[in-house]
Amino acid sequence: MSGPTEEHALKKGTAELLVLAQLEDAPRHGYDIATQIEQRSNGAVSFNVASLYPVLYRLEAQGSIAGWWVERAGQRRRRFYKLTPAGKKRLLQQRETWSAFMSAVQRAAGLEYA
Amino acid sequence: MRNFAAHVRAHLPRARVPAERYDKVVEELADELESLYSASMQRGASDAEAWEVVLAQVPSWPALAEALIATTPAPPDRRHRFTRLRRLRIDRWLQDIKLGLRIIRKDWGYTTTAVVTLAICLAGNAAILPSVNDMLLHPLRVPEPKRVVLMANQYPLVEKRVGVVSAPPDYEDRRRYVNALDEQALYNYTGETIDSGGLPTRVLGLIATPSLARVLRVTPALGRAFLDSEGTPGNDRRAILSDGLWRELYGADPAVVGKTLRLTGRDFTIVGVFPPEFSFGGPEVRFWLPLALDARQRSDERRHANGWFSVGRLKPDASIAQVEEQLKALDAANRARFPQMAALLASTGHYTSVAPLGDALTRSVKTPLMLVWGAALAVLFVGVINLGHLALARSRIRLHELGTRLAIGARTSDILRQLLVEGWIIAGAGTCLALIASRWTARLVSAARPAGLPVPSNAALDAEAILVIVVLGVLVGTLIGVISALPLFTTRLGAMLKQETRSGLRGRASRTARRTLIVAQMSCSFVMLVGAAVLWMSVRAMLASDLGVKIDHVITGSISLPRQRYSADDDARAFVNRSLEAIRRLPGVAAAGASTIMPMSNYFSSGPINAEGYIPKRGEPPVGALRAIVTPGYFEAAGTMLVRGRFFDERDNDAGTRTIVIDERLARRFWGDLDPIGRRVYRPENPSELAPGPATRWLTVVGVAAHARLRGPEADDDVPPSYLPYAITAPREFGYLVRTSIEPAAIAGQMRSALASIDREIPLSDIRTLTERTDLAISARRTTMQLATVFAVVAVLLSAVGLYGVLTYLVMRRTHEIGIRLAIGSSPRAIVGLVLREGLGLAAGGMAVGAIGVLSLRTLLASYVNGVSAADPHIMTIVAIGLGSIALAACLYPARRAASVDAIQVLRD
Repeated sequence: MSGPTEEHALKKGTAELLVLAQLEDAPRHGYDIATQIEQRSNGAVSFNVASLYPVLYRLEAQGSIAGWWVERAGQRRRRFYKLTPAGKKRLLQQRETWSAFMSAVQRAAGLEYA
Repeated sequence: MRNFAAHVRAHLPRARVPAERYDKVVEELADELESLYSASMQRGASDAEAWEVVLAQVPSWPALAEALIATTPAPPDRRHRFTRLRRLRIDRWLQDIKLGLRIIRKDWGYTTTAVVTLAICLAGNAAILPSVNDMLLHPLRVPEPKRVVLMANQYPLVEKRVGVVSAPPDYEDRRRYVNALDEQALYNYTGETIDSGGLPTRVLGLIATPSLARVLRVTPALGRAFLDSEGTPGNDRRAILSDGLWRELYGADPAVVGKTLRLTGRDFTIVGVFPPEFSFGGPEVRFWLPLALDARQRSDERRHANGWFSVGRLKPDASIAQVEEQLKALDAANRARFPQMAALLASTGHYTSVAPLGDALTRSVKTPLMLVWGAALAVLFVGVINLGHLALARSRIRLHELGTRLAIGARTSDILRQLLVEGWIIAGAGTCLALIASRWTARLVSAARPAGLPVPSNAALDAEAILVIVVLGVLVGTLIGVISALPLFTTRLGAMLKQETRSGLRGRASRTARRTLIVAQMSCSFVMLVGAAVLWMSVRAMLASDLGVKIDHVITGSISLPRQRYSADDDARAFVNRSLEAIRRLPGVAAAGASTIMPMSNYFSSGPINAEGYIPKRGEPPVGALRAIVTPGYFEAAGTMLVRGRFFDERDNDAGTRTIVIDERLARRFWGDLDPIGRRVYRPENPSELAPGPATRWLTVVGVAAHARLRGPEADDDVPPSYLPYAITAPREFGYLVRTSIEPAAIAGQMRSALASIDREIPLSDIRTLTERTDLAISARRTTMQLATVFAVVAVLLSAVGLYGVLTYLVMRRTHEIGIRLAIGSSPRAIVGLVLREGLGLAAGGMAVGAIGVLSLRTLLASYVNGVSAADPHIMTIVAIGLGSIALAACLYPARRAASVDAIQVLRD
């Protein structure tokens, strides 16, 4: 059972996990999040503004992350994001989901031996 | 210097994003783009190259705007939000329904099983609900029925049964002193003869004080109710017809008011017709006559000459407790007024009871109906468990599908919703099927008219009952959905995706749950089977009990001599003698007689009886006896045995006769083992005659009859009969008993002709054989038993199916274990034994729990069964063996399947 809805769900699922993971150790702003993802994946996964910000705003609307403006002397203000407790839970769930999925895919594709 | 904010503003559409949010988004995006630009420049890119990077960040500004709008909380636009929300929801539900139907169609076997199981269980409830609704919940269809009460004289130390009647002086007293009641009335049933299409027919009606219409708050649809003035002697030749009688006799003539109705040779003026939906006193009541009490009836002499129903309606602010208080005060006042009665009344434990009239009407049917409905609900319970098993099993099969959907981002709530929709679709199909089936069964039930278990004339489901069935269906559907969704909450996603079939911790919990449910099913079935068996034995015991009357080969019929044409007792005696002679001459007649108490019917008359020289113990209540007035030939026709002395013959045909035949229990009560023949007794007609005196009308005992249960096998047997010769009082209402050597029904026509030849205008009504009457007397119990049996059998079958299903599933789960056992040398027979032990163990566990259930229900059932204990060990043993055999049959196939497991294949897997 796969179709446009599922693929969309797939991408949606990946993005959220990646974004939440970047906020696990420290709060970050949007540019920082995208940079981290690219670096940690060795360039394999990258987000542009059009794909990152909808995810950020969705996570914020969900309550998984919280955003606030930070003003520093001599700098324009920037919006930082951090993980909420609900977000931490969601991150855990997403990690579990994805690791199980990956092992299932591996088995199904014959990559694992009994 | 590039103006990134301006760039964003220039491209990001504003539509539908609130201004405040728009500005912040612009600020944030601009910051991001600037950071990217700066980073590019730092890596050595030119301005143009860095700008390219910026431009590449957003391939489509409208798409980004759409994405942002999707995450923007909707503005409080009341006009559009609701429709948008609703559209969203309905879309999703429609999708779920489409998906659900597709999945259900794929899994045809499961669907059919579930739908049929549910339909059967709900149809049972649907069949019984009209009766429950009509009889238990709405026995009295008048405005504010709970405020109509029935008052009655109770003599708990003398009679076991709850009294329902009062005497006319009580009515007068209560009207005067019980002011918690707004209106009061007195009524009774009366039978009259009407001319229906040339044939004289007996019809039943009510004779009531004109206030009854006010108590019940009923207004005739045509004409008016009785005036109070019509409740006085001389003004009472009025009648109100039921809608049915009006249509039958007058063809629904709208000008019927004022016409004359001829009842038993007397003319009555019709003053009104009741509305078609009004029914009081039973569907056979077809007319009302006004009750005009004369001075004698109202006199103190008639105190405790109970035979009337005394009802009243509570005042708006009054309560039954207040009525009770006032009745208590009235009783005390009367005891002070009539000191000569006080001691006697105290010995009977007399008090006046008050209760809602509806309760009194339903008392006799409450227990059987509750039993049958309980059985129907039990069947539903058992069936729902099966559905639960099915849903659980199927959810395991769909584990992989559910897991995949969860893994790729579907929300748990979405999947739960979809499973609920599937459950509701199945339940909906089952409910519709049940409702359709119930219309068909309702028609059957109406046609069969199982006498005794009250079935309302309109046995179809009304809106209330349909609602109950639908609600039950929705609940079951929800349960199916929730059970199907259980793995979502209890199984780890990894396990779901691996379609884990080995046991995990969760697996054990689910197996325990299944086992518990099977035990619950089995115990339910056990209780129901034992209950049905006990009812069956009770009916058998009743039929086998010695009634003192030989009911085979006896035909009976009732007759009523109109007082205008038989005003003299001699005329009545002459008629009776001639009619009996005529009947005795008919071919095939072995014996014939008449009696005022028709055996096996519920009509009876009773009163105190006392023996000469008998000194009652202190506080001993007066001895009561049924008062039968019989002709010679009665005992021979009834088949009652003679114990001592003789039965009535021509010597007792004289008006001056003063003889009596008594039941052997009365003889023993008064004289022990002494010979009662020749001794004297008397029957006080009113309180002043209680003590013997010079005016006492003594009766000499000439015979002792074997004990007879004239009221039938179901009724209480605490008041033995006494028999007076017909000649003494020549009652005008009595019944014939004719014993035949041929089929009794064969002479019915000839009996009618014989009577018609003597007096054409007197119909012989209610012609039945004594066997038919006895059947009718126990029909309530028998119908209850039959229905309980049907439900019990259905429950057993469902349980067997459930057991089979669960065992098959358990075998499947343990396939690996079984394979290993076979591989290491276990024999197939041992495997069979393993499975059988499991299955029979569950059944035995269920029966043990069921046995406890039976013991705790014992008291409930005991009030309803006699002749057999509700917890009879023999019955329980037989039921256990039967249920065990069925369980064994259900286990055999899974056991054989287990034994035929291919060990090699299993080990390879």
